[in-house]
Amino acid sequence: MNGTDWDDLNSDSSRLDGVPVSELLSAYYDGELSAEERLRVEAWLEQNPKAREILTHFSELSTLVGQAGTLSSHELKHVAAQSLQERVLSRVAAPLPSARFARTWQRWGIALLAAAASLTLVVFLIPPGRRNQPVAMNTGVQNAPLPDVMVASEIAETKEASPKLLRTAAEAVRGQADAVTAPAADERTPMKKMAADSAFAPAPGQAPEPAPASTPAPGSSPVPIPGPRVAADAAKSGAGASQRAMPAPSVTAPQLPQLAPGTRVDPGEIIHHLATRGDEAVVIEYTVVDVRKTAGELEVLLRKHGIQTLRAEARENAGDRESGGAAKPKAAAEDSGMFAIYVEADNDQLAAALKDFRALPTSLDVIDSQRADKKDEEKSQDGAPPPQAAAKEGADRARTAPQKGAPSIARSAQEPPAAEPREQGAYQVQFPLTRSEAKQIPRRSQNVPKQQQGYGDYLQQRRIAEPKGETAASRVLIVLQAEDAEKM
Amino acid sequence: LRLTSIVFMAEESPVSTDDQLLINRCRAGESAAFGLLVDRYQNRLLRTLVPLLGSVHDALDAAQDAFVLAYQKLDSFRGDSAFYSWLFRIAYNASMTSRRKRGRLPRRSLDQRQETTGEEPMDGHSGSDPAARLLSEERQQLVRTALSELDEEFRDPLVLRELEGLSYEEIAEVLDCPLGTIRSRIHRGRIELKAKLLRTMNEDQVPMARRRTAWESN
Repeated sequence: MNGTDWDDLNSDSSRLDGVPVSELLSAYYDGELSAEERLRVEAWLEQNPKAREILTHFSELSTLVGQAGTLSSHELKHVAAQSLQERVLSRVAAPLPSARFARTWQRWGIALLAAAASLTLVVFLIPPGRRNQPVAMNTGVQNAPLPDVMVASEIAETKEASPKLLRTAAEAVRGQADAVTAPAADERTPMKKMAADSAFAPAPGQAPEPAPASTPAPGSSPVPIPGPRVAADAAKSGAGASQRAMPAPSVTAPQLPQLAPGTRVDPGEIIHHLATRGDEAVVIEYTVVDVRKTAGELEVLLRKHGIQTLRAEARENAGDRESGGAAKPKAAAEDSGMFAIYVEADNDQLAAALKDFRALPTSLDVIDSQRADKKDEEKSQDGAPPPQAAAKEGADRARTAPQKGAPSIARSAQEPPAAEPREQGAYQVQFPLTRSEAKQIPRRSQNVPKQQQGYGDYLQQRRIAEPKGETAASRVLIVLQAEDAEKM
Repeated sequence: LRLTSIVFMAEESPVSTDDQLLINRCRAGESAAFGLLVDRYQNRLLRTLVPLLGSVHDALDAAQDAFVLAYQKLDSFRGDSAFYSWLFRIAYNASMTSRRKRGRLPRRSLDQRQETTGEEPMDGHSGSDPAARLLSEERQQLVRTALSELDEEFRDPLVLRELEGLSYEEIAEVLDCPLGTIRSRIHRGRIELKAKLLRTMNEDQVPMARRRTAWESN
């Protein structure tokens, strides 16, 4: 076979392992042969050098087909005249189903919430890949008063534990195995006290909640940020009992009810869990919500406040990432127990955005690591009435607008009397910059509008920026944490 | 070190940050943000749909349907692949539906198109030489015509390969065919397309000067 005629190459006499040579050459041209096939084809080409011309023909054909897809100038004008964007938007003027339902319930929810203000709600999220395993929780307790144990003394302990836990979380997010050490047992005293409380303790047979560690175990959440913790006392709410809200980063997550294998838990579902707290039986009500949309709302608010979101993502297990290189996106999406939003902003700027965010009915509860202590002090002093309406409305919206397949984010809200009880369940972690990093941060005087600054541009600026100042903007990681299902 | 970690995370997601931001805004109820996604991807989508469907008009309709469907399904987009890949699969399915309703692709000659649009054929990619533009435009139309005459079982994998740059495996997934079948069909598509191009050039009595392509050497 010395010619380059395709018919010759397709003939019965021109076959390699029963396959027409031209077909193998076509796949060879596309780079779609196995290594073994490629070697055989190359050996064949060595013996039939003129057959290489057919590869040139393939290339010419590719060029022609490529030209067929190129829109000519008059076609581009025609496309522009058709205004595809306007045509599409006119057909999608209505918001997405999730957003539409959410808005409807946002309006009706206000009236409903006023009537239902006395209910205790607990809202939390589950990862989509673990629908049969609740992964995060906050608790409201019905029918039985809770011992008023989470008071000022423990809050004081919490203040000491909080910074380290926050740092632990941040380091874990970054997958820095050697960055931190697990908090010592005595540093987690508030957690232990909470765990000792039977309402939050694991049921018999359940694994105890692991301590935050610098290296997340495979299969576990990469960020062992403790879950939200508010021991709500509905019975005492009317009497103005003191708020027992704890700074979220300082306490461990309570244990979730163990569901039977195969049990499906969907957003919007309410789960009643009978548990004991001390010697008393209590019913804990969980509402499962999905807050991918809420994460989107947070990003919109950040943008409105001029804060560029550097990255927003559902995060996979950090251990997997370290050991296996780039994790498969699908696995990451399904297994993620966390949604992280990276921003860089002034503290005031960020605080304003988060304040607006908290006002959203469906907002994730946010802990401001720098202000948590102050808020705790405020809570312990004034015992202001709770934003029950907002919490209930959030639950209603979630109940009516479940989103399938959304990443999971731990979310909590509750209605017991408290000053800002919604300050729970998500975490803003600020990690300080090292001196060398601070020097790499481009100064704002570079006049690059943050809104127009892509992430790549941002990184590039970091690389090339001259050290011009001693102070740098805070780099902030906002972690919306779902509890690990393994912890249940 | 921390920066490295962030960079790594930025690279591991198939969805670009910009796309994800726009998607999040849509999910938050800001449907206008979807317009930016339309603007970003419409030409890329049309580049493939035009050869698949045979005309810009049909491709526009299919693209419009695809974008609307994509918006309606946006809540189900998990970010497992790039947004465009997800969009393209929707668009391909929409175009197949459109094609089934319409039947076989019409063959559109240059004259027919000129009658429809009232415009002289122009090609913005051939420089300022009108003759070169005309030749390029004519060749483009010849290829489109030849593609439109191919059986779709050969045309589709070939176009997906040549214009979308999909791997055989991805094409097999889109078309729901075995990998070996895709390899064979792409090869067969090339043979058929070459034959039709030669025949079309002869039938259209294109002046010899315009027919001097690499195909004549075969």
